[in-house]
Amino acid sequence: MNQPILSVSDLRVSYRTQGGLLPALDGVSFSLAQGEALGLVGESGAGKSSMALALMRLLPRNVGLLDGRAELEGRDLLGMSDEAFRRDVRWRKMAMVFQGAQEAFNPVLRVGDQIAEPLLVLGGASKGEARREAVRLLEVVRLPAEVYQRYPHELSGGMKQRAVMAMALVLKPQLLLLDEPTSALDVTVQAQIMDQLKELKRDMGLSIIFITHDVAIASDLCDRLAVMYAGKLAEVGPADAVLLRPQHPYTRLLLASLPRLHQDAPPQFIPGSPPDLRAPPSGCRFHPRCPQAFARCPLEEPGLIQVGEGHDSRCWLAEVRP
Amino acid sequence: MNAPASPSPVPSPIKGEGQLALLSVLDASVVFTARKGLFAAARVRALDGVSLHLDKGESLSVVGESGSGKTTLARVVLGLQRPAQGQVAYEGKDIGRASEGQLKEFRRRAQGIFQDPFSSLDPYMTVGQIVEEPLVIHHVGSPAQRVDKVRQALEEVRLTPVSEIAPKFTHQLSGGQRQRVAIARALVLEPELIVADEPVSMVDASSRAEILYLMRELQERHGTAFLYITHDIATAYHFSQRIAVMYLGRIVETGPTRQVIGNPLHPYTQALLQAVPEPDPANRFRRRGMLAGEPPSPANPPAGCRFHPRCPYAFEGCDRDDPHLLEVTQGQEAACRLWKGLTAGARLTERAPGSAGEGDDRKPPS
Repeated sequence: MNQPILSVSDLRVSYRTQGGLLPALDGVSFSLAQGEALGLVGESGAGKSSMALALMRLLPRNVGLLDGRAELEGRDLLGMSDEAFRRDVRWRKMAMVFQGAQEAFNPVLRVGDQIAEPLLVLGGASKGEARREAVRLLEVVRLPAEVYQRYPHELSGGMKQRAVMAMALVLKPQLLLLDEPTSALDVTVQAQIMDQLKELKRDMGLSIIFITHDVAIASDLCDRLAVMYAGKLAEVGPADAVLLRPQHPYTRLLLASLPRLHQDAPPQFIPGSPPDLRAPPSGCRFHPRCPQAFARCPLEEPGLIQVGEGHDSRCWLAEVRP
Repeated sequence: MNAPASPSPVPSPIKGEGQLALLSVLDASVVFTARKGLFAAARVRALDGVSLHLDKGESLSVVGESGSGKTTLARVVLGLQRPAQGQVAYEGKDIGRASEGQLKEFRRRAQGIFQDPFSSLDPYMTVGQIVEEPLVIHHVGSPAQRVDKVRQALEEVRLTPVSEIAPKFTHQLSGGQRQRVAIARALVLEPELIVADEPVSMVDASSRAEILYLMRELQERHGTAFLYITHDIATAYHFSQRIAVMYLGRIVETGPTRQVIGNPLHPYTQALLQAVPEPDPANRFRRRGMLAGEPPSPANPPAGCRFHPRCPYAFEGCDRDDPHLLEVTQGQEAACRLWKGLTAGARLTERAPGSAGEGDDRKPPS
């Protein structure tokens, strides 16, 4: 494996809430190789978006605790000054596409000018250069050049999503954070956008963190999958292993909850809801919902246990197995 | 019009097995007038000659993307939107011509569940009040009986313990729990028909299965008929006995669910099926998108077959001739010229007898 572009170790984020401190991320570590796509998968409240916001330094004001390390090409993202982050990292090294980003455009400015803006403001480009580059990026995301002149309301949802991707790529970042980038789109358009992302990853060597609640969508792009539950990684490993030989009961249930066209078994659901993180369950956080829980589970919390090559599961069952 | 004489639409039978259908929609069209620029008005045909029927206790899924008219269809069926043409009949009675009293009765028997559990529930009411409200409106039961019915409804959707959930406000619940409150509110009146418009599109994948399971259980336990409206053909596969696929205001394919999914006849149905992601690591190395572009605006539908600009199998004449639904195999209808034999000499009957496209070399590959 080549040098990791991003390495996150023991990242912790807690929010101050009326009911006390809410640890949304509770000691998460992973690394991302150059050109790799990692899927962060889990239910709402698992900590996926907090991870992205922490990396982009966009956490809300009510953060009570931010701890751990996140290094992008060896530079500490959390410790650097706002000024250095703005100047060297955001947009240039790492860009993010948010959920519902199609609505992120300013409605009264032309789409192309909005794509070109970071080049003028941050890239020191001339107007002509910025414009040419924006048109080139529209081409990269397979939009006609005339889209440059259009206003956001003149574009369809899928076109806007492509334009948002062009905007994220404008300062040639190496790492793209995508938070549910297709959830607001129609299914046939979603398939097109995913195809587009595969192309960008292959042609530009982009590293990608792909955040979603839908394992099936993640399987469309991701080389590795990290399944999150209640602020921690439950299982992490190569996509093949996690999808075909899932080890954590939660991962198995997530996979069984998907409606499949090619099997008759109806989708299964996971009983119960994710825990209130202000008062998480004792022991393994998943034990109250786990069909395979046994005596040890409510007593002791398991760490990540290796179950295969680069494949870990936070489950006592993994320890029992050879 | 330079189109070759295209046969007039054949409405789907409104009666199932010789008995009166619970719900029948006959050739319904809905036209919205939208302002276009300063003076011109655009007429948008959101629903264009749609017919369907639903028997007691049956479930039908209506699958389509944005602009397909599926939500307009839900509103028409619930009596919230009057069709400009055609009619909606409940047990054979045209609800467009019903008196106020009959309408109120209809609204007790047909309930809706909507997409957004964040905006469809009153934030200032407790869960208990939300579920009780329909009973109050329809003067059902004494206060004590109502409390009992509310408890039963909440238990049925597994919002337990009821004593803990009932006093909560909806902002204290997860998306999946909120949608279950919406289901409890719909079922508390023991309706015969539930129209569920995208009930799972805004909940997590893990709770999606539970909502669908609850709805299936209701259907089995109480014999409630369901009209399930969705963009997700995979959930439809596991939910309903019959399926109707809509595109730009029309039904383009309909039939028994297993038949339609197993042997899709319309290229659009095929594209929808291909767009469903399965959790397969090999997806990374394949393209899933089969269609280019997006559905055009219903304000300005393409001439001929409305799907032809995106259709991978379009051939000469598809841009002129507007195909109507015709029965291709037993019970399965598709509105596509591939099945019409028009270029090989017009068939005399609209309904092709026999099995799927026998001897028809233009059968689209599935």
